Amino acid sequence: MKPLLQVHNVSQVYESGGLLRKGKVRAVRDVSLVLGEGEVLAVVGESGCGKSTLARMILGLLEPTAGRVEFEGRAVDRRRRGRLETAKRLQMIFQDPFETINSNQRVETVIGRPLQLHGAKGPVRERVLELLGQVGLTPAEDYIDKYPSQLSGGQKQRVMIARALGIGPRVLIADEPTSMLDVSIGIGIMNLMLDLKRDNDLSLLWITHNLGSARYMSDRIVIMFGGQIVESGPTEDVIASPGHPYTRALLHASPDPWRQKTEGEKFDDAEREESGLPESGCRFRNRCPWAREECGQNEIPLTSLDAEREVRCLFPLPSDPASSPLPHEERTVD
Amino acid sequence: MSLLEINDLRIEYVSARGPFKAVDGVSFTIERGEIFGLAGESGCGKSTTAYGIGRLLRGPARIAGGSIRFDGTELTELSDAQFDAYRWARISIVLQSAMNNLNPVMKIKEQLIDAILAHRKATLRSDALRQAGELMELVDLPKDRLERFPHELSGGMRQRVVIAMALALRPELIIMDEPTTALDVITQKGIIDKIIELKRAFGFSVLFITHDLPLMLEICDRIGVMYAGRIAEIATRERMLAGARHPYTQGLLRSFPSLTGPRVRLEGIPGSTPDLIAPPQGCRFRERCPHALPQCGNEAPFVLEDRDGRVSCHLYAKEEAFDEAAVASP
Repeated sequence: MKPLLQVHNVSQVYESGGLLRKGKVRAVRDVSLVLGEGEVLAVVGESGCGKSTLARMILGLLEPTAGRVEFEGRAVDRRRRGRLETAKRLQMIFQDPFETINSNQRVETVIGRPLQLHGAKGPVRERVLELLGQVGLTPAEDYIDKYPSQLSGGQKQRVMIARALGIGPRVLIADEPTSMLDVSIGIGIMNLMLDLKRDNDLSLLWITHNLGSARYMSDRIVIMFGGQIVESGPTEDVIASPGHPYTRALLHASPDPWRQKTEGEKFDDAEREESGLPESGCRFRNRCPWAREECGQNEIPLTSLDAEREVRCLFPLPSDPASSPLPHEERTVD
Repeated sequence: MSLLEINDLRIEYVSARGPFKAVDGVSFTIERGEIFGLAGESGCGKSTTAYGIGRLLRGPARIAGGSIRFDGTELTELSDAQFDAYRWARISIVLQSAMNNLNPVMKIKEQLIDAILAHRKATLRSDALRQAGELMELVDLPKDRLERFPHELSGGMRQRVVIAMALALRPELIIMDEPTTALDVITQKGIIDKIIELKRAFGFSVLFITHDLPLMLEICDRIGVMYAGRIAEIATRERMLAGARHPYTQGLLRSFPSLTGPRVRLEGIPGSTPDLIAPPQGCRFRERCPHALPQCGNEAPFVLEDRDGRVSCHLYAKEEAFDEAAVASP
């Protein structure tokens, strides 16, 4: 697969605190990933893991503190004159269509204005009608003159997708685009994005906290924890047999009443949850039942499990989960 | 006798166009020691139902009819002063945003003691403090957290404090409205496990409300699924895992991507909910229903009740006409 978007060792450090206590928050730490042509890559993690910061850096909305982003072999740089050109090729679908849509503009303007900004001459109404059809808002004539307040959440999100699509992107970056919507509507948005990807030869970066939606959407998956990638690989393989204890914790905590339950799945308690993340060594080790002394000594590198999978763990879980029951008695790190 | 019996409950919001029937004839029961779930999507009336039971409705909402019997007493007939004897002491409530509604300038200790003293006025302060410590232990929080302020605790810990408060007076019913929705899944799992453990220990009942049907199926004994102000189906957990009966529930279950089994395309439920100011005749789901029959448009849905629960749907009017395979569930 030809790489379309390449992220090389990007980091983001935020300054935090006020007059009394200054600190640095390393929100994203040395993240590298590749999105291939026609691929759907899911980036999964819980709040604060750095996934949205990563998206902002990929779009060029935020300058990485270190590292670089390349799109079609050229650097994405927010200071470059070619920024508009990048914007054309990389488009973002945001989480909250209620917030991101301009409520004073009719649908025709919401979708048509970017077309004009990107060089469309003359009236764009015909093109807007066509785009509305592509995102399933039909008959398009019924929608084009509406204001956002006359649309439901799902319809608003479709308008935002049409708006992004109109510019002719190669990559859509979607940051939790269904989390504000009811599930029965959200699944329609996911299907739409998969169809658009197929019909328009797009690639998709799907950012989510929800492993289920990641599995539904993606070919490959990247799991983030504490600003780092802790595991990556083909989605089915990672979900079938997670290599990193965090991935396993996430999987076992995700509600799925049809899954066979195993005993001793308890991963988290109040104490662990509160005890911040260590700055060095394995960032998950305070919550990891398998943690050993070595886990805190050095930076843990990403290592290959096989040709397609990587995991950031000194003691990755074996592929047969039955052979790795939780060693509650052997806890060494508290 | 069931602990809670809701019968034909109606709750309206006053609006310029006429009453908005948010809850329109809802009936269900909750047994002692049972976790009963109310599921449904935004606007279906599940939270309004809970607010009605907990007497948290504020104008323009009002109870327009029906009955709420708690341990044999008709709650709708009680004055606010009379209801105070029930609030927290017998029925307590945990809301989604509750963890953000702790008083930011009071230590956890003071807030727990306040909750105890407000309802047990004769309690000695030293006894209340001891009880506060016990409550913290119940929800696995170290006692030293009593001396902390809310901002010093994580979201999950604050939600545990709120659950501890809800338990303070050993109520018989705890209403939980999306208690873990704002939390990460691993934190959510810890809290859900805790709720189940505490329920086993104390035998209280829970009215658990969430839009997350898979989560509900992990925790609840029975589940009521609401659609457009009405209950479409009530089913035991086992029944629903084996296959829901109402087409809406089936559609809802087919909207959650699973982590196991083959990857199949899910279709969700096309369309949108009806206007509850002028709701349609007959079945409210029929415009979105893949199995709609002619009679669904004008006759109220047939109600089938059996030991698995209750389903309101014309498909079940004639057992022999119903082909279960044609309406198969995931």
